[in-house]
Amino acid sequence: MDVTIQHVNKRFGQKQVLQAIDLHIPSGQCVALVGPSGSGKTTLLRLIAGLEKVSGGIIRFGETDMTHVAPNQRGVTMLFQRPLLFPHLTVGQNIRIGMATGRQQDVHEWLTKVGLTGRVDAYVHELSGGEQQRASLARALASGPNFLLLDEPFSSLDLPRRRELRTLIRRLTVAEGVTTLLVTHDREEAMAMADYVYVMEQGKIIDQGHPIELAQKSPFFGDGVYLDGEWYPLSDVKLVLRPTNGLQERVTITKELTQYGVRFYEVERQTGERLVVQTTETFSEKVTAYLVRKEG
Amino acid sequence: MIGLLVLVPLLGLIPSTWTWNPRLFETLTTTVSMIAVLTLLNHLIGYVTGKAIAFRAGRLIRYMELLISLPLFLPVLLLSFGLYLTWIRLGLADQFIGVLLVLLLPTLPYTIRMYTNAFQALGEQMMEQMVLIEPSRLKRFLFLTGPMMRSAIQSVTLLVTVIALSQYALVTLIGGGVVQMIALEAFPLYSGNSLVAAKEATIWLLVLPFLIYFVQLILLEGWVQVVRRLLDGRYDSARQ
Repeated sequence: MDVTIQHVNKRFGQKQVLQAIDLHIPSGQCVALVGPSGSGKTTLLRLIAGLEKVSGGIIRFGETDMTHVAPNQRGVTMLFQRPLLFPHLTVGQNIRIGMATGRQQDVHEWLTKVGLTGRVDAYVHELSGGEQQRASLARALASGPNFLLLDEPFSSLDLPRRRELRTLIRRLTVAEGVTTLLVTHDREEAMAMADYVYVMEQGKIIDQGHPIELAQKSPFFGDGVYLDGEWYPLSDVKLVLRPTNGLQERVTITKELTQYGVRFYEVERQTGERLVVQTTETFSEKVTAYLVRKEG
Repeated sequence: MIGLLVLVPLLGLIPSTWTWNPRLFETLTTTVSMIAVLTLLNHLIGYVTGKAIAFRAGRLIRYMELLISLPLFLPVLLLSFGLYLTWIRLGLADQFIGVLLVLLLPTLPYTIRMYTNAFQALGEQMMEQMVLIEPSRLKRFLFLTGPMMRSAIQSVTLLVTVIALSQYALVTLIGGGVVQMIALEAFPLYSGNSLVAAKEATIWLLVLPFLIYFVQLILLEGWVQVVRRLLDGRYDSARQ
């Protein structure tokens, strides 16, 4: 379901927090809102969820005007910074509570999807932080939402768990066809997850585009993270990087890791710089890769 | 140490013989009814007000919080005589409902504070998560908010019980001796010469909070178990 925000404003008392926001999230895609703290991105997310009332403008889900619809009638689920699981319930019960009637048998399936097989009867305090956030993701997606809102859900996790979770979210939302909006101040996260990125500052959208375009033109992304591009498998140990400037470059695969069906490659450029990339598909002829981090 | 300080004096309270005070049944009925209605009112008012104070900002809320806290700063006995005169005019003096309303004064400020703290501990995001997950307010309370706040519910009930049982002066003044509660039976016996009767009344004063606490503990645990069972298998029919 497409989500369209038209000319949305938000005021808290005299303070204008959001000014004439227009954005569009195509059905099944992941859009990221990035910007520094206080830029209004979380407020916009809360307006979309219905947790705050808009001061002006329209929010549409598909053709339906959702501007004044109650939050629990919007078919929206949200992952917050903390997992917010219900501590008096087991993991399985936490997932079941959000599910539509008649889908209870799917609990085990969802636990498998998020890598928590066999933890159906575990209580929240028995899970690690990363496991809690994965259980929370299963609960969010198991309800069959129209729209998934992510409010910096990785910020309480360490770096390896963060990468695992965002890969998992991306894989599951693509598989389920769930339209997703990610709010983050982390450019790497936006690059790794989003199909399209809006950059916010002081309550306004100041830039927008595909991650690769933004990496080249936006000052917010402008610290050299421009190496995203298409990667061609050349052999078992070589990839060809084609950055968006069109120049091809051979890189050497130094390490390979698969998590939740998503491959990570550590590669070394001819300049000696090492990169870690992740792909969302199995290598065949051509894949789109996301830069995850630069090493060294 | 605190436990010992409480327990050691209790050993001397066990009477060697028991006599049944004929008024005791009526007194116990009034006391338990008073505690039940008072606790219910405290939970209802405390829950709603505590939630508002915890999550809403603004000058009005801050003034409201201050007004609610006033009985914590002023001795209630100070207000009770003025209240007594007002209650006479309203026809509430010497009435069950008159005593009930006046007992809200020493209990409600603590209840509201406890609920405010409980809601703040849960956090606004948790409340929002619940709203997004369960559309029905009643089911949200029964399945999520209530079980998660059971420590607060338990503490409020116990506190209200103990405060209600200890308010000798207020109940005497407003109830005028017509509304008989257990404290009214016990305190005069302490200055009398029937040690056995005084011990018996004190034991009832002691037993009631324990009894209420354990009954409530069983009920709350039962509540959570029912929620878990419904979610484990019978949630579909429960949600219809």
